[in-house]
Amino acid sequence: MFLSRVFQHSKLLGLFMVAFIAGQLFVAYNHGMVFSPFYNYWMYASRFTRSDSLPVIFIYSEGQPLKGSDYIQQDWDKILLTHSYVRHPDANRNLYGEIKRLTKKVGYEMGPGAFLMPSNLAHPDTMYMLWKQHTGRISGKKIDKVLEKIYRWDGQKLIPR
Amino acid sequence: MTFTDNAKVVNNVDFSEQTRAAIIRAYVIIFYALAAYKWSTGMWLYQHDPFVFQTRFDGITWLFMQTRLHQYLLHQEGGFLIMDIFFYTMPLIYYKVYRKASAYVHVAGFIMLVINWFYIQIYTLYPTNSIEGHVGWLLFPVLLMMKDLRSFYYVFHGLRYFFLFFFASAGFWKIYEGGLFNISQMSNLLLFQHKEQLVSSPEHWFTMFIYWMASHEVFSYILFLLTTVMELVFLVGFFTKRFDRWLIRIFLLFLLANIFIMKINYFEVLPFLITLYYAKYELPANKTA
Repeated sequence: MFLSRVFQHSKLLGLFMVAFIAGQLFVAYNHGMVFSPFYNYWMYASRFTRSDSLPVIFIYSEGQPLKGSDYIQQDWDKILLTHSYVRHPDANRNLYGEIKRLTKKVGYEMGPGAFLMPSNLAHPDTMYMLWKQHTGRISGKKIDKVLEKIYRWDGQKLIPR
Repeated sequence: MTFTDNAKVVNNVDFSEQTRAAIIRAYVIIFYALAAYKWSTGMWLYQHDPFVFQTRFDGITWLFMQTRLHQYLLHQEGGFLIMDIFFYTMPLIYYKVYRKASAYVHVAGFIMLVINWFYIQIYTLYPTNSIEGHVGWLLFPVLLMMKDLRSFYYVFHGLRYFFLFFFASAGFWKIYEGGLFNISQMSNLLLFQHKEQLVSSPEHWFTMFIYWMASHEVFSYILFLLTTVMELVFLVGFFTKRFDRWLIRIFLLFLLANIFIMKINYFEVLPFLITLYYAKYELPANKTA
């Protein structure tokens, strides 16, 4: 067996591997919080149900929405994903509540400072302005506004709801 | 069948210093090929020029975040570029050390380990990268730290097992979480994944293609099912190395299909293919055939 051969070669290396396996199994069994480099590879594993109201983001420049097909995927992701961060400015604060609870439980309560956006960048208006600049640099266009519209699937295509 | 028995079923050759050199060379080549690709697509940290970060549910990341480096860099002109320089020059430095001063290879490997951990932890706090896909850069420096050939061999095979687990567990989770038992799964995923592109570019060929896939639920589901089978097939690697070359092909097919259909790239996982490619090399004392 592989592990016994590793132990024969070096007890230290064998123990390291056993600890590694235990760590990965613990994270998998726990299937919640992770500890780098142990993760759960479950992207799109849970049931995806079809919603009748699918929010779609439109980013406007000079009255026209940006088209995803005009950008390489990496740039389109940069535009949309950063916007999702900006749309949820309280995400870090909400998660911090859980961090505080868990770290307190193990006797080392971590303060909020490291987990929240720096105060001069944290205001939603500031984040939105920075996002507009960021998206402007990627798209080469001046961003006017962002709208969220609700769509639904009619069996052939997405249509406004 | 035990690990040692596997040696009987593959066409063994010795795992020697030449093998180690070939593995390190392959790692460096893949690293710099990906570095060039990422630079061309604006994925270096300084090209991202992030202005926001998002905390994640990772206990080790929380420790890294205590350094506040991720916050400091948001204010620091040129800080992201310095991080990139550290990360992207380290494999070259390691390779030089390995060639010219191999007695210090463990030191170079350790420095790479520290740099990679800081870089990847910070890089993936900013959009648009998930840390899971970057696990190779976190783990390979442990291999490169191994001075002794036998230790190198065992860690190398440990990484192979990790990669097999990594991929097979993705299939397992689709069963456990129930996605595999949802006939509309792939159709719904496609709409969710591409909704902004579909609506903003209704005439584009990719939109037509995704709409066709989404409206043919059974066809889409079969693709999802096949993907899950491809992932679960990696379990075979725990029992034999005979099919490792096939696993490489399956992974590459998975990689290409993901880029084409889901527009998600898993290029950063490519270094793990080295572990499958060189798995047939056995330490002379371990050979049973």
